[in-house]
Amino acid sequence: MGYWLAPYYMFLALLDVVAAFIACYVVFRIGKLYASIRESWLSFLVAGYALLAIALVASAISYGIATSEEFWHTPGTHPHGPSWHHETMEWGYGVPPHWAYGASGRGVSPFWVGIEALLLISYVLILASVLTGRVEVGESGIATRTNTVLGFVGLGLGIVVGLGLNIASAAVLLVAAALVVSEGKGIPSAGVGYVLLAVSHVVEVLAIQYLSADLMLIAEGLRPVALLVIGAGVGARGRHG
Amino acid sequence: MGRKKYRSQAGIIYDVLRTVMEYGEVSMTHIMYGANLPFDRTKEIVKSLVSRGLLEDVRVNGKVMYRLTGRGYEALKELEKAKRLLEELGFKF
Repeated sequence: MGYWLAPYYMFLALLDVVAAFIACYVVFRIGKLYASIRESWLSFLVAGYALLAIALVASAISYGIATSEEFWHTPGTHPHGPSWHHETMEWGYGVPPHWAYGASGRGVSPFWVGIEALLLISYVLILASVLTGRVEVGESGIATRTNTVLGFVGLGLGIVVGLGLNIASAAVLLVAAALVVSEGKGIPSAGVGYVLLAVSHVVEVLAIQYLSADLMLIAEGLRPVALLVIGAGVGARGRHG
Repeated sequence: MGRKKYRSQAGIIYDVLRTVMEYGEVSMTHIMYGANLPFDRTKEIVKSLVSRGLLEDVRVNGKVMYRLTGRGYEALKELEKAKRLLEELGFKF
């Protein structure tokens, strides 16, 4: 990673901010609906997207910091200049340990593990809202009760306990995506969004496994894109639907 | 075995409130047909909506009828605003 990453960091920070706005819009609109009809599954949806917005803002701030560090240290333009070593917490020479996998990097630092946990909780809440906000309907289209909810919640908790945060996130998101697209009448943008989020967590696992900052940047870039897809879907329906 | 079909809770509430709004004062049976629900489920939902202050029951010629309250009208407006978003989030109306 000898090249200058400031423009890419700035781009990611901007994407995160836009995605956080979309998540806030979901919180605002669904929150108002919850205040009117008091359906508990809507509160899961509001809480899930609120946590997602917080995680995206934290990511935007981190990219803002990374951008400023790039401007001050310019590791790509001055490869032999002094740079901040996160591991030793002092200035040094040579190739700096990258933020993506250094002691303060993603997937390693307590702060980022906290954000990953926040993301997982938000996905579980979204999945809970998808599960509890639906009612199975019979052949005639008449609604009947579904008893699959507890089964899926149990499955979700089992995944959370048994696997790492990223794999658990990907699994929860794939279950949510499968449920959302199972209607058979077109694919809602959330279906595509949840799959993109799941892919981002799988790519992050690979990034940590292979200590690849490039893969980490791709993984983190996919997250706001998932929210942008949902925002674009809502916008497109507004014009055509 | 055919693929299971689902409706969202929000979609069901929307159909109930819209049916009541369209006809002004309606019976439970009318709501049942309007929202395409079985009778026991309709009864359960209407009772819940009355307890939340979205519907009110009135006696007309000795029959119990239901009509929208101010809160119910506001809820219907909020549902209409959120409908597009909820559909994109995978909740079928």
